[in-house]
Amino acid sequence: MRTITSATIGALAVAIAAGSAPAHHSGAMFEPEKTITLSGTVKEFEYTNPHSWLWVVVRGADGTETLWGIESEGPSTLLRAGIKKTSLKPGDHVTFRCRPLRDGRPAGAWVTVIKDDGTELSPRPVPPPAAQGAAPTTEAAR
Amino acid sequence: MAFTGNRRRHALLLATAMLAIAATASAAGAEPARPGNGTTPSGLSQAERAKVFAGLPNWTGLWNPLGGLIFDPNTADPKGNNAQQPGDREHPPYNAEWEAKYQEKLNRTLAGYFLDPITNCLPHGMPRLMGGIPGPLEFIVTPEQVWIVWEYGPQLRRIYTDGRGHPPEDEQFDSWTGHSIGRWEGDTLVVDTINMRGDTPYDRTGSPHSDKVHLTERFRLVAPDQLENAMTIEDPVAFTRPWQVTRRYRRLPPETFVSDVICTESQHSPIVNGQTQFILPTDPPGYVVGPMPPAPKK
Repeated sequence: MRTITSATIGALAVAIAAGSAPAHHSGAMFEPEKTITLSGTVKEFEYTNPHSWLWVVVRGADGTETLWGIESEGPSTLLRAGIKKTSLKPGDHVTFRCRPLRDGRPAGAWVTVIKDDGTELSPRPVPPPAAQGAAPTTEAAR
Repeated sequence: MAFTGNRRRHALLLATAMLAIAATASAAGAEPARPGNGTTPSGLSQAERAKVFAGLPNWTGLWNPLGGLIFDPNTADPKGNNAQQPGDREHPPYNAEWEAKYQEKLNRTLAGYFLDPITNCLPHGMPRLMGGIPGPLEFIVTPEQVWIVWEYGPQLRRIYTDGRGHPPEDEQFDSWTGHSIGRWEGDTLVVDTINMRGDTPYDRTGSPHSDKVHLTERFRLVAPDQLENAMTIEDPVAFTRPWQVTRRYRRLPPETFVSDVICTESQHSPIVNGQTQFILPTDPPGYVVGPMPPAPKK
């Protein structure tokens, strides 16, 4: 899973971003299409309503550390997608993809999180190819 | 087959209602419900109530709305939009004055502001609950009332099927869910709703309605696991003609987990001065973001 190709990631990004929509506020503060990929160490997984937050310490090339927050849906939606509060623990090394804030602060909308053991955590499973391009459902939008 | 079932149920409801009237007519001051109107008066014996129950359709369980978060997917513009990006809209049959009101909201959103009341944790309101909120929702069908419960909130909508009418005008007031009365036409639940607050949009695009909005819904199963809600929305203040919107809900597997979604539990994004804030623990004390940059041109 760690050797996932950029083409695969690109396809994934389009599939998820197309239906991605936070439940309680608009997605307008996030880049509508751009996603970024970062790696770091989990500081905390806030399993809360109306949105959950994963806080990850990302070390830059110059050694500086930045706390990134990525936002997802509330616990029940995450649990329906198989993401438990125990899925991410402080100290876990993760690679995450998010749609970053448009104002440049270190936060974004959670697209996917990949753990070192290859486990991928996406609030919304990637729809099967036949479903892509179809009208969005709230099942995809939640 | 469906017709036979419908007729049988209808006859059962009618018989039950008549029995009930016979029973309640003797009770002092009890006002008998009209027989045969697809409603069930309160106060039936357990046995009679069980008979009515047996004739009601089984909509038990959780349902997910299909068609996205825009209230009317049919008039979504651009087509297929999910009411999320600035400029996303739909086309209710507004008169010129209300189209201008909608346009003003769309322009505010395009300018980087954002005005969805639910972001400040207010309820979604009606008619929005039927098409502008993520699922799941749950139906609880009983003889005297049908309840719809949304995980988000949680929010509860009561539909009285006990034969009551709307309250007299001097007892009416606007609320988030309004006042809903329903009756069964065979396996179709027909609901009439008034007294909905005029300050809730149909969805996140900001599409407004007045407090004179009047909703008629026809709920029926169109497939074993698909429930249809054919809505007719009249708004004598805002519309030039009634708006027909049909939404469907898909039944989720019975083991589907559901909990509560409490908006104020960990609120990082209140609206302040018309602008959604996005508060991070790394922000300096007192930090408030300015207006969002205008939406990128499409």
